[in-house]
Amino acid sequence: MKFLSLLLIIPFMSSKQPQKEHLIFLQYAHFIKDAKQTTLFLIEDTPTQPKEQVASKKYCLDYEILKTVALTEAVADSLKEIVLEEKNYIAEAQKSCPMVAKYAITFKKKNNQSFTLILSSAPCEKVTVSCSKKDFKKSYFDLKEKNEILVFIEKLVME
Amino acid sequence: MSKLYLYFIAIQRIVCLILFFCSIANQTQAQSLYEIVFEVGNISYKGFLVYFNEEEAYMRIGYYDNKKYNVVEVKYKSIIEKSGDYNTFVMIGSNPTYITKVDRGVTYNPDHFIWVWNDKYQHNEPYVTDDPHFHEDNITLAKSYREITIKDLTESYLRQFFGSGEEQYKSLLRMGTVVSGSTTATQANTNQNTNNGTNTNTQSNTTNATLHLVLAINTEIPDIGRSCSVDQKSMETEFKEISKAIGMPFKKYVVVGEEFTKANLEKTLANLKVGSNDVVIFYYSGHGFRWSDQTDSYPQLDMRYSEYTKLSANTSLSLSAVYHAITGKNARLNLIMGDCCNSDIGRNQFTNSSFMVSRSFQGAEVEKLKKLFLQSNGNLMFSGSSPGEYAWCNINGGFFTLSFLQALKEEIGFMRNESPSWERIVQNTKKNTQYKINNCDGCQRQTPISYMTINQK
Repeated sequence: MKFLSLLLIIPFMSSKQPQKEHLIFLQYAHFIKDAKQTTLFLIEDTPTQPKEQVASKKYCLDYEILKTVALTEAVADSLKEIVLEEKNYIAEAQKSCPMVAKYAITFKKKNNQSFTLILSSAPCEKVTVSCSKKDFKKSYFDLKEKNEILVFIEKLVME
Repeated sequence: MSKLYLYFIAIQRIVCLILFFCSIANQTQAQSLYEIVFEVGNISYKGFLVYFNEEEAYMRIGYYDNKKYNVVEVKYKSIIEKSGDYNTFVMIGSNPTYITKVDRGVTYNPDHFIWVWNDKYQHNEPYVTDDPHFHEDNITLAKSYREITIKDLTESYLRQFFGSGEEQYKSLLRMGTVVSGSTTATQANTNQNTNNGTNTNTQSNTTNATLHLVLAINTEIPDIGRSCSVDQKSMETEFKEISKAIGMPFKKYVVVGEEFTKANLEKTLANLKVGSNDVVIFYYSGHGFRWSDQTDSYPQLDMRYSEYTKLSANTSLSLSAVYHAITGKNARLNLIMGDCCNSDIGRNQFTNSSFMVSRSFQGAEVEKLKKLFLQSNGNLMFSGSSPGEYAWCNINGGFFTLSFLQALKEEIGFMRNESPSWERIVQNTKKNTQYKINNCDGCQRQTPISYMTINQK
């Protein structure tokens, strides 16, 4: 049974609400929306400690990069839109299964304005969100079962 | 600070106000009791709410109508919902039944209660309406809302809502007397031993038995570590209080923090020395999964505290292996529980290494605890999820763990007349878990599975 209509009729709620922040990216969502550079990587499933990393390999937030997937401007724009869609994330609860990384995406607006997402698809769909801004704490979220983000990425990788 | 975190904090605050989480997340009574006072059309109503779980609650409502005092009982089911920034906890009333005599044809429209909050707004009192359509004009704010304490359970207070011959009245009065009186839980235990037929056996069980609690909790892992810590605290408090109440020595073994490794858990289990009359409880809260080629229905426990450690057979072990390791020690009663996912990791096992062959317990009736922990023998393996499924958690802990504690408390509460049974605890844990999942936006099916060979005297 749904009671969401209640939210419309309880008087105190009719007062004007402040502009809503993004559920995941907070006030920095524009780093993604206006990103000049969007990059998709296939990565190792487990990060490598910085002291164990080797110069001949490239890393994204300690995860070894296995492959870089080229994105056209149109594809990058679609990816931004999908990543910003709040419906792809679960806010109420988390799954008790391990993060096994598969993909990384970086969105760069300027050097000090960027987001990096590390995504896991199995055993469950999870994402770690890191931002260049110090006041944005590294965060862990679960993705909905039929989220568009992994579907979109997996289609790109298959092509 | 992330918005999600703020959201959780807001929930955490409000849960202290609303009964839903008060009853399941904290170490409280087996059934939670609340008083709500509200006014509709110049009539003042006082409600006495007995809350067992989301699906089972009732309220006795007393009020004067034309100088005549009436009491009506209304059944309740509850739902928690989120919409945008707002959260609601709604209790839907149904099946009103008059307890006092009323004239023929007199009916009572069941009241519905609504708590609303977000990270900026919270209100202790709920909104109330008897309008099934929840029309704005018919919704008012309740006058007061509070948790009823044991000290409130006096004859004069309870008689506002119950007849003196009613079973609920007797149970509530007993609850108030046993807990707030000079009799401590242990004394009550002794007294009850003296007064029942199972005296000798029970006393013998108490003196010879120890309750061993083994906790393997992934408190360090960044995504769910906080939730796992809550689980640890809940389970530890629960079983410590149970052992205290029934006079059983309590031994705790904890594998947490940076000690949370497969080797440490194996060592802890190997060193566990148990007697033939002892009770062993193993509880795991952390990440879980299953290998793609795995045939065992029970999950693998992920024993890594750092995300920099690679997942392999060397960093995980199965709940079944823990079960065999513990039951091989031949204690009287073994409960092996894992609150974790059981979803396919998408790859086969790398190697085949083998595992070694808050409050006081005021709402629990000691005699019922004894039946469960002293007069039972056998084994229970209980996983929070079926093969292919996720186990869900939030800041209040794992849904399976919360449901287990809820089911256990219901079973040992003063207001349950049946003899307590492990079978019912298992069934109610499964039912409660599914109920929480059904009311969680974005959560998917989670069906706990169990294997039980417990006999109860």
